[in-house]
Amino acid sequence: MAHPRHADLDALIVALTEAGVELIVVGGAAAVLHGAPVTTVDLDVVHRRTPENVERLLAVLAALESTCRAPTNPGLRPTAELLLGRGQNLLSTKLGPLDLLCVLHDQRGYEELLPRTEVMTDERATIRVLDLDSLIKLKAEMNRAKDRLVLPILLALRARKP
Amino acid sequence: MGRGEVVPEQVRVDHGQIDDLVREAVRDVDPSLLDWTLSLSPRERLRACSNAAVALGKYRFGSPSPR
Repeated sequence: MAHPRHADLDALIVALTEAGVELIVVGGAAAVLHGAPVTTVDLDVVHRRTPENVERLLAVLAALESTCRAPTNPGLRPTAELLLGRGQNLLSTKLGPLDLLCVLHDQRGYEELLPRTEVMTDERATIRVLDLDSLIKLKAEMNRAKDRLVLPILLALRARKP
Repeated sequence: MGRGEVVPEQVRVDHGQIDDLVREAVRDVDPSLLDWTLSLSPRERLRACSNAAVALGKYRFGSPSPR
């Protein structure tokens, strides 16, 4: 069966965090978590690149029937080598598109981003997300059309914070 | 906070290279939308986003082609 075009963000994050995968939510989903009323079709995360974490991640990816969605490698399954590298793994899953970023465009990975995160918790999930100031800075640096669209909203949210 | 009351310069952190067009657009952000999303829990925000994306996708992918 074909995978959905739109990510079920909540279900994806719960699946990953319940399996103990260490990750940081970035991108549009991070904006949403901070309260931005925007839509996004995929989940972008930076995962911790340790063998143990990648092993947990691969188990979840297998359960989600994940495959590479790049046109050059359709159907290719993610591997530990890919997830331990420095690339961006754009996957299709049965819960929608999932982008596993080994590092950001500026080469910062999980360890470097960790001090710039906050944790949101409820009874079922503990979600680590890039903090609002860092997300604003990141979007400003990227400066793509989609980043410029969401920046005013993030700045308005920031203005409400003490 | 009412519409038009957001003053981007009040943001105390260094946000790098944010140009004037983006700063001006902050005034057009509907505060009632922010009130609504901030009233939700983080996971409720995720679900609302996914539901909205699916609904919008139906318009994009489900509408008949123009003749």
